[in-house]
Amino acid sequence: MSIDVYINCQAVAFPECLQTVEASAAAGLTKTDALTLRASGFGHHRVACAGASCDELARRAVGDLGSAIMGVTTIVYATVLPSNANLAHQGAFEQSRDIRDVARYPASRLQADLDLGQASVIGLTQQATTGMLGAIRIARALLVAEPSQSRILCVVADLVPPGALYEQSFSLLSDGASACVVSREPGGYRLVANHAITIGALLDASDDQIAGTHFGFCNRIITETLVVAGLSIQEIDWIVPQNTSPKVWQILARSLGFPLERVVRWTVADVGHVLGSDNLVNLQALEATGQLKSGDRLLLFMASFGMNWQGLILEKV
Amino acid sequence: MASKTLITGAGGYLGALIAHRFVFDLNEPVLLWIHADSEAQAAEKIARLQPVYAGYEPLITWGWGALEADDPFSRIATEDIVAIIHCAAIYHFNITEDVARRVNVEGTRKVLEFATRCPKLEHVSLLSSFYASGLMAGIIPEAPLTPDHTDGFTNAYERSKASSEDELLARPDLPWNIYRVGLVIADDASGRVTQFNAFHRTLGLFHDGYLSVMPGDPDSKLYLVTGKFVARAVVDLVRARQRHRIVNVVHSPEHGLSTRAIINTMFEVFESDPQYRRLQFPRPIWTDHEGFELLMEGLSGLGSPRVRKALANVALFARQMFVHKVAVNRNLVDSLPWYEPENQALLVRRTCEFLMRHQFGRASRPIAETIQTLSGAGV
Repeated sequence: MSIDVYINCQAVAFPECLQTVEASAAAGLTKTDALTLRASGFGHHRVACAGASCDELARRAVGDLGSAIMGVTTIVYATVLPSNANLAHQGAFEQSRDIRDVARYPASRLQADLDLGQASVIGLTQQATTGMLGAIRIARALLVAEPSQSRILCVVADLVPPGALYEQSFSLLSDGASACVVSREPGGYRLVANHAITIGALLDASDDQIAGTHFGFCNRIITETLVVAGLSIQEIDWIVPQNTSPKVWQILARSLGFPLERVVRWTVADVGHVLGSDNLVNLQALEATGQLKSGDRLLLFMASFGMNWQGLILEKV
Repeated sequence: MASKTLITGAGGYLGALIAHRFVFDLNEPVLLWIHADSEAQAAEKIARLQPVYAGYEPLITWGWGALEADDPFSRIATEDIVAIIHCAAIYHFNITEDVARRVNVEGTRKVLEFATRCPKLEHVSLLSSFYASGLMAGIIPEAPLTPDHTDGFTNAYERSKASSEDELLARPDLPWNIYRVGLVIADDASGRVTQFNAFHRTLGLFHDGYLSVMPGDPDSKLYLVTGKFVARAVVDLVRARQRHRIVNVVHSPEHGLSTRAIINTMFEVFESDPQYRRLQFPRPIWTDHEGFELLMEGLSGLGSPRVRKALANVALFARQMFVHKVAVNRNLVDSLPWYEPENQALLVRRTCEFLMRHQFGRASRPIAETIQTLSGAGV
């Protein structure tokens, strides 16, 4: 690929309410007891108030990008949960029986709200928590394939549905959104390589099997992404991962031969697993440390329902 | 009365195979001692085994007892016992130290005490384990292990086998022999499995997707044997009437397989099934011992119960997977004119194929059925 593509800027947005794992466990929002979750590295998470909307979160994240969204030619809007890709209020379809009420898309609403009339939209709803990496992959492909494309806005936004547990696959969940602008304009991070795996045959796998093979598949997506980039793990400066129990990283880092202190895992205690936004949450946290320097290579990856795994390698400009 | 060989644990896997060889192939009389806590339990077990020996009744005498009892062999006439092969033991890796000591170690001591009461005794042997060497690395000689066992052990089973050997070493007055058996993974070269152990359970966990991390050094070797090979070797060693001989009943390392090769063969067999191949289960990541401990600790609260159980199974032998052992088997080779190493690669492949066909031993076969099967195969 001869055209270089960059992530120019990124932003994240959370609902206001910061809740302790104890409060959530007491409120019946977790399966696992608070003590165990805390021992596993989870402390707080973000829970949207009743009536909060997913598209509002998305708007807040995009709003933080400021003028970078001017001239956006495509919006790639991902949600982990397909239900978050419909703006109609709960029960609207049952009342109207009109299929429009299952197809009120937030991407079009965002386009209108931001006055991005020149941008077309793409919805991405079946890549689960890998959605942001999938959106960046599509953005890159569009920028390479279509000369008319200049700036692409990637968004992922999710609220845990009312009544659902804020725990999945042994991780404490947060509501949240994130956004970034991808373009050919040098700045931010250069996209070095991306890679995706889907194993549909595992759709019916049990939680036990998913947990049992987690390390193997994480290792595989990381290794294969490195191969696509033509890099070795020694040439990676930071891993910007999915938020799971930090203990998982003690093991994965060892198996990869990667220094644990260079795995960005320190947001887990404050926000838990922010569904599709973990990578950008952790990227921001890494930037905030002031340790990133030009030329640093970052490996981002996610594993999700579907069964999807995606990896991305960036180079700090 | 005809001279006979006492086989303890004759209702168990290796004991039964050894008994089978004496009776069916050599037509030699045996006293088959089986574990039972009561007369009723003994009668039930004997009734299950008797049909196997139909037509050979004159060669069989039955005995029973519990190794934990004060004198497990009190019901046995000592006059016509010329040889004792002590197979009875608990072979599970998750055995507690206390049970291992009472059954395996003190049980061996009781066998030796009984041996002193047998006036015609020419031979007494302990069926030990190659892994009685515990975490000892390097050359594993056909000689007494380090007396203080400074290298330690992976589990109580290994320790109990080493301590059982010590019991024999402390009795120079007896014509003892020690046979250290490798890891039995199949009945014979066909790969058929009757006795399912930690090896088979671990393969099943990989197959079912409950494990993707393996502790160990992938270049370390496992010393694999078949039940048929062990039975034939042990019977011939017993009949040679050697004294104070320690024999490693394993194949030499140049004929062995690394754990990496075993895992690769296992996945090749699994992936020959199109349904399995679709799942693309990853080959395991090798981790060091600390990494494995972290994994165990990390999943102690969170994580799937099934995965925790799978890891607990592996933890029972995990430390052994880092130890590079070099088996010496000179005594074995010199004692058996027929000796030929078994083809380990083919054995692992066929065993994996068998395990896939039989759901990894979820339905274990009774030992009597195995003996009958092996009778047809000619052990």
